[in-house]
Amino acid sequence: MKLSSRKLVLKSLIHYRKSAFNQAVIIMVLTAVFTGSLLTGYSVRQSLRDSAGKRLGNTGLLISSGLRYFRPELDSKLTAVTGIKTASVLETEGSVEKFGNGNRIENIKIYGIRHTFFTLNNVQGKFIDNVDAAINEHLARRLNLSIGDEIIVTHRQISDLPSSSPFAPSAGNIASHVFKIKYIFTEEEAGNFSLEIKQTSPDNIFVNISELSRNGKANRILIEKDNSFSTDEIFEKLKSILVPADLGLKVRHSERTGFNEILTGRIFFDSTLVKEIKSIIPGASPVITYLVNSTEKEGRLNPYSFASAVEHSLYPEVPEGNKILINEWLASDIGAKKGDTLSLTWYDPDRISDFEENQGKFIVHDIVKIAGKWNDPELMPEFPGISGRQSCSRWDAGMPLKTELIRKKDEEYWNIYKGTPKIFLNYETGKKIWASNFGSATAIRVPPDISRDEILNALTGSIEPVKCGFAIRNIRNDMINAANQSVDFSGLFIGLGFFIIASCFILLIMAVNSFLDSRRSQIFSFFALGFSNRKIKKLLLAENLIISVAGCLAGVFAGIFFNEIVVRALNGVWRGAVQTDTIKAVTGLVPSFAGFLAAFLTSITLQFIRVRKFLKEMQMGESREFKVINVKPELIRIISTLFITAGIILLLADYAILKEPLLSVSYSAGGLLFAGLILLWFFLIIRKEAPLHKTVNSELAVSRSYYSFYPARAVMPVLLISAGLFAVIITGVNRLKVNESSLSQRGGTGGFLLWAETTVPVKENLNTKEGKKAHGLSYFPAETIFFLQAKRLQGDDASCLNLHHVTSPPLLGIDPSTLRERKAFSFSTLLKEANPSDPWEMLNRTPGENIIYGYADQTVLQWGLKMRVGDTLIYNAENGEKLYIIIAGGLKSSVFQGYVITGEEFFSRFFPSVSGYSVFLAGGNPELTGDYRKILSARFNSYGINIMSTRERLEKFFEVTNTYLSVFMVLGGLGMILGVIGLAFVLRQNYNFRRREFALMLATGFMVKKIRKILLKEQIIILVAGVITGTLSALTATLPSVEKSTDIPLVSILTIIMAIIITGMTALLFAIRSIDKDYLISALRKE
Amino acid sequence: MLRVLELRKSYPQRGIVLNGLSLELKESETIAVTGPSGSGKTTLLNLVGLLDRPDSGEILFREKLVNNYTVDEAADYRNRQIGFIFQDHLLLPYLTVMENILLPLSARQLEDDEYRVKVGYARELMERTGIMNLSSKYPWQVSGGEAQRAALVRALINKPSLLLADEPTGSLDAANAEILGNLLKEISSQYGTAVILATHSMTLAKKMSIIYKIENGKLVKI
Ligand SMILES: Nc1ncnc2c1ncn2[C@@H]1O[C@H](COP(=O)(O)OP(=O)(O)OP(=O)(O)O)[C@@H](O)[C@H]1O
Ligand SMILES: [Mg+2]
Repeated sequence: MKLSSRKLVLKSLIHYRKSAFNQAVIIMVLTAVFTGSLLTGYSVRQSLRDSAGKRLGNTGLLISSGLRYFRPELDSKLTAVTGIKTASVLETEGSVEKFGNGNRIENIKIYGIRHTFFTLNNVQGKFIDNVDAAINEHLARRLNLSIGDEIIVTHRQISDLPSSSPFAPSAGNIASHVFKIKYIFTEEEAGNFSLEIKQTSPDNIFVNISELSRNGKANRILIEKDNSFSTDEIFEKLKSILVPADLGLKVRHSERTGFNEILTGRIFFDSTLVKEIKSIIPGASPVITYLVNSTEKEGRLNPYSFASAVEHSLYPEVPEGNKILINEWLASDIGAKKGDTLSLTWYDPDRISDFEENQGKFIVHDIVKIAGKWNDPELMPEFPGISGRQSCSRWDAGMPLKTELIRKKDEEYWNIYKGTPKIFLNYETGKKIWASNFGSATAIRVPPDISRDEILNALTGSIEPVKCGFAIRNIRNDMINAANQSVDFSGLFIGLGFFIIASCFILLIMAVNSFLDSRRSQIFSFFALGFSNRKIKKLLLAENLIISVAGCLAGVFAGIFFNEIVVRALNGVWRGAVQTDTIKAVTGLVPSFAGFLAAFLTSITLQFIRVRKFLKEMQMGESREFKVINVKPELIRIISTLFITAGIILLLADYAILKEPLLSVSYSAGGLLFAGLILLWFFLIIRKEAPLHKTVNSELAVSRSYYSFYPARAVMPVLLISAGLFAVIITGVNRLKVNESSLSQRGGTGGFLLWAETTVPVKENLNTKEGKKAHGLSYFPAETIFFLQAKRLQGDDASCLNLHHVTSPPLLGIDPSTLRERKAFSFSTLLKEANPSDPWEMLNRTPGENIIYGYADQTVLQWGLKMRVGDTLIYNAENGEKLYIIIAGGLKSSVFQGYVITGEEFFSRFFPSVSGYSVFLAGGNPELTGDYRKILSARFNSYGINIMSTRERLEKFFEVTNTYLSVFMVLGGLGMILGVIGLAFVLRQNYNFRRREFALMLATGFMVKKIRKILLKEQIIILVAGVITGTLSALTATLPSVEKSTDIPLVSILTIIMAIIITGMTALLFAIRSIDKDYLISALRKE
Repeated sequence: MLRVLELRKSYPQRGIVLNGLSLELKESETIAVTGPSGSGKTTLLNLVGLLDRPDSGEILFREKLVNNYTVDEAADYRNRQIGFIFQDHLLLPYLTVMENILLPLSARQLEDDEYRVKVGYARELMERTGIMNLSSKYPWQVSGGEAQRAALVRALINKPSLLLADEPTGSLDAANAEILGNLLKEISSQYGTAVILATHSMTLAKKMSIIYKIENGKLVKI
C-alpha cells in the first residue's frame, strides 16, 4: 500500500513507456556505436595478436646475425647447453616461378631449414631433402602450385663475402635453383612462419639450408617459446659455445714465417672484431693486404701488385709513414732504388663499384729479397676470384683489369710467387688508405710463441656475440606489442561514426526535453505537494537511470552485431583499410563493458544536466524570458545576397581564369554559398510580411508568426541537416587522387615515372656508363632513363598498409645529390636544423658518432612509427654497434611511404654487406614510360624486379585513406538518417509549445486536419531546405573533382540523400499521426 | 495565523502585478480573492504557498517569516502546512486515486503507525467527499468533478492549516462546482482549516466568510 519511491518510478515508467522506449532506443544506438567501435578495435588487435602467434609457431626468442652468417650447427650446440629447442634457419627474400609456365611472384620469403625447424615446431615425419621444397598454402594458391610441381627459386647469393666488398668476384650476385614441391604446409605445420611484423599472409618456401649457400650458412636462430631463460642468459650461453669456425673464422699456421694467423670468410675484419681479438690474444697484430693497380717510377710501370700493411711488432723492418719496402723483383722491374719516390694507384675500397681510383706517393726505404717473411704468398687474402687462378689475366677481381698491361714477366711472378706482396708498408698508413666499411684488416697474425690450439682455445667462448653482429630479441613480445599498439580501430570507428554519435546526442537531448516537457504539470504538482527538489530530482533521475541501463544493455548486444557487420565489411568491401581478410569478430568483456560504461555515463550525464536545468526553470516559476531578436531583416538579406554572389563569382572565376580549377577556391565558394543560403533561410523566416499576406495564405502566416518569434527553431534544424550533408558529400567526393601536382617534382612521385624493387640487389651504379652497359641499358630508349637508386635494409613495412606499430622500418640508403639538384619531393615537417630550401642535404650530415639523419613520410611517422620529427630510431649496425637515426622531417605523402631514407654514404658505413641497390626510381621522358617499364622488367627479370608506375604506388597508399573516407561517408549517412528522425521530435515539441494557439484555431473553426497539415508542411520545408543547402554548397565546393573524376560514388551519395528525405518524411508522418483531436480539444477546454 | 505585509511582485513583461498587498488571516478563517483575469490572484496564492518569491514584502506564517525559506524549507512548509488545489486537478495519470491521495506522504519519511493513521484519515475524507468507491481507479477513469474532489482530499491529507485553492471549479460544470464549494466550506469548518480561494465565481466566493477583490495590486474588501 505504501507508495515507495520505487513504485512511483516504476509506475511512471510503465505509463510513459513509449517515451521511455524512444529514449532507450536512442541510447541503444549510441551504445552500439561505442561498443561496436571498441569491439572492432579489439577484434582487429586480437586478430593481429592471434595471427602473430600462429606465424611464430613455437618461436619465442630470435637470435639474428643481421646481414652476416654463421654455421647452422650452432643450434644443436645451443640446445645442448640450454636444453631448449632451437633451430637455425637462413632467411632470405627471393622470387619464385612455376616451372614451365613462367608465372612468377616476387618478394617471397625463402627459409633454409634443418631438421631442428621441425623439432621446434612439433612437426613430425617431415623431411626436406636437397631437391625438395615445401611451400605454404597462400603461395600454393597464388601460383596454383601442387605437390610434385617444380619451381625455380631465385635469390641473392648467400656468401660471407659481401658482393660489393673489394675484389669480390663480379659474377654470381644471383642464385637460382630448381626444387620439387614435396609438401604444402598448413598453418599448423608452421607454413605461415614469419618473423615479419605485418598482417598480410606471407608467401613462404622452405628448402634444405645446405642448398642456399656454398657452405650452408644460417642467419637466424629460432628459440622455443616459454623457456625459462632471459634474452641475456641465452646470449651468455651463446657466447660460451661460440667457436671461431661458427663465425667463419679460420686459424692457420704458416710454415714459412712461423706465424699463426686468423682469417675470416669475409676477407676483411671489422675494426671492432680486430680490437676484440687483440684484447683476447695479446700480441695479435692486424695485417691489411690490398691490390695496387700500378706502381710507377718515372714512366716505368708495374701493374697489379699486392701490398701488405703490417705492424711494427711483427715486422720491425717496415718503416713508418710513407716510407715503404719493396722487393727486389719490383725494384728491378721499374728500376727503383732506395730513396726513390714511387707513385701508387689503387681502387678506393668504399667506391669499388664506381671504379674510383686513388693515388699516393711513397718513398722507397729499402729493397728486400724475396725470401723468409718477405716471400709470403699467404699474405694475399683468399679472394675467391683471384687465389688459385692459373694466370693473372684470368682474375675475377670484381672490376675491369687492364689485361693488356699484364706482361709475360708478371705471369711468371704469379706462377712462382703467387700473391706474394711486392710492397710492404706500415699498418697505420695502410689502414688509412685501405680500411673501409668492410673492415680494417685482412688477417690477424699472431707471434710464433702462441700455438694454433692456444689461439683456438682463447677465442672459444670469449668473443662477444654482439661484436660479430649477433642480436637477440624477444620476437614474440615484440610482435604482440606491435599488435597491441597497432592502428586503433576503436578510436577510428568512433571518429568515423561521429555523425551517428552526434545525431544520438541531439536526439537524446530532444527526447529528454520532450519527455520532461510533457510532464511539466506533474512535476509542478510534486512541487505544490511539498516534495523537496532533491526528491523530485531523484525520482526523475531514477527513471532515467533505468532507461539508460536498459538502453545501454540492449546497446551492447547491438554493438556486438555492429562489430560483426563492420568486421565483415573490413574483410570485404572495406578491405582497403586492413589489407587482409583474416580479421575475426570477437567479443571481449572489457571493450563491451567499456562501451556500456561510456554510453551510460554519457547518457546519464546528459539526462542529469537536462533534468537539473528543467527543475531550475520550474523553480523560477515557469517564467521563461524570451530574447527578442533585434536584427534588421534587410541587413540579413544584404549579407546573404553578398555571400551567395561572392560564392558564385568565385566559382566562375575559378573556371574562367585557371585552367585547372583549384579545389581551395571552390571550397571557399562552397563555404560562402553555404553561409549565404543559411542566412537567406534566416531572412525568409524573420522578414516582415506585407499586410496583404493574411488574406492570401493564412496557413503559412500561422507558421511564420511562430517562427519569426523563435527563428532558431527553424534555422537550427536546417543548419544541422545541411552541415551534416555538406560534410558527408565532401568526404564522399574528395577521395585522394593522384593528380598533376603529385606527379610533379615537388609532388609525391618526385617527378619520377617508375618505382622498381628487386629482391636481388644490383651491384652496379646504373647512372654510370659502365653500370648501364653491364645491364644492357646503353641503347635508346633505355639510355634516357635516369635512376634514383637506393640500398635497402629489410625491416617491417611501416606504410599505412601495415596495421602494426612498427619500430624497425626498412631503411633506404640514397645518395641525396640527385634529390638536392631536383629539389624533389616536399616536406610537411622539418627539423629546425634542416635548411628548408635544401632539406636533402641533411642526409650528408652526422651530428655525432653513430648518429645520422633520416626522413620518412609524415603518415608513416604518425601512424606506423608513432614518432615525431626529432625522435630517434635505433638500429643494430652490422658490426654490432648501435646506429641512431634522428628523424629530421616528414615527407608529404610520397612513394617512399613505408621506408626511412638515409644517406647512402652512412648507410654503407653501417651496413656494408648490403651490396647493391634494390629500390629504384626511374625518370626520363614520360612518353616512354611504357617502354622503360618493358625494358627494365626484361633486363632485371633475374633480379626479381617488381615495377609499377609511381602513380600506381601512390594510389595503393591512397586506397587506405579512401576506404576510411568511404566508411566515414556510409556511417555519416547513417548518422544523418538518424538525425532527421529528430525532426519528428521537433514537430512534437513545436506542437506542445503551440498547443494553445492550435486549440484556439480549432475553436475558431479550423479543422484538425489543417493544423496537422500546417505542422507537417513546416517540417518538410525545413527538411528540404536543409537538403538543398547542404547538397548545393557541397557540390559547389567539390565541383572540380566531380567534373573530372569518374570514380565518384554518385550512387552512394544519391542514396544517402534519398534515404535522408524518405526517413525524414516517414518520421514526420508518424509524429503527425500521434497528434490527435482529443488532445487538442482538452487543451482548448483548459483555456 | 497568516500575515502578508506590503507584498510586491512584478514580471519583466507585465510590469507590476502586486503592489504593496497586505492581508491578515486568522486560524480557520476562509476568504475568497476575486478580480479580473490577470489581476494577480494566482500570483498571490503562489507567493503564499512559496511556489514563487516576492520582490519585496513579508509573509509571516504563525509569526514566522517564511518568504526567506530555503528551497527545502519551503518544500517542507508546503508539505506540512499548505494544501493546494488548482483549476486542473493535477493528479498523476499513472497512480490510482488512492495512490494520488497518499502521494504527499511520500515527500518525507513516515513511521508505519503514522502512515496507517493517515490512510485511515484518507478513507474518512474520501467517504466524506463521496469518492470512496473510486480509490483504485485511475484519474482518466473518473469524472472531472470526482478528480477535483480527489485533489481536494490529497490537499488535505497532511492536515494543513491553510488550503490554497486557485480556481478549483474552473473546469467543472455548475453542479460539480456547487458540490466542491460546499465541501470546501464544510471541511474547513469541520477540521479548522483556513482557506484562501481565488475565483471568478461569485457564487463560490460567497461561500467564504470574507470576499476580497484585487485592485491595482492591492486587496479591497467587498
Ligand atoms: N511566470 C510569469 N511570467 C510573466 N508574467 C506572469 C507570470 N505569471 C503571471 N504573469 C502575469 O502576471 C499577471 C497576473 O497573473 P495571475 O496568474 O496572477 O492572474 P490571475 O488573477 O490569476 O488571472 P486568471 O484569473 O486568469 O487566473 C498576469 O498579467 C500574467 O500575465
Ligand atoms: Mg489565476
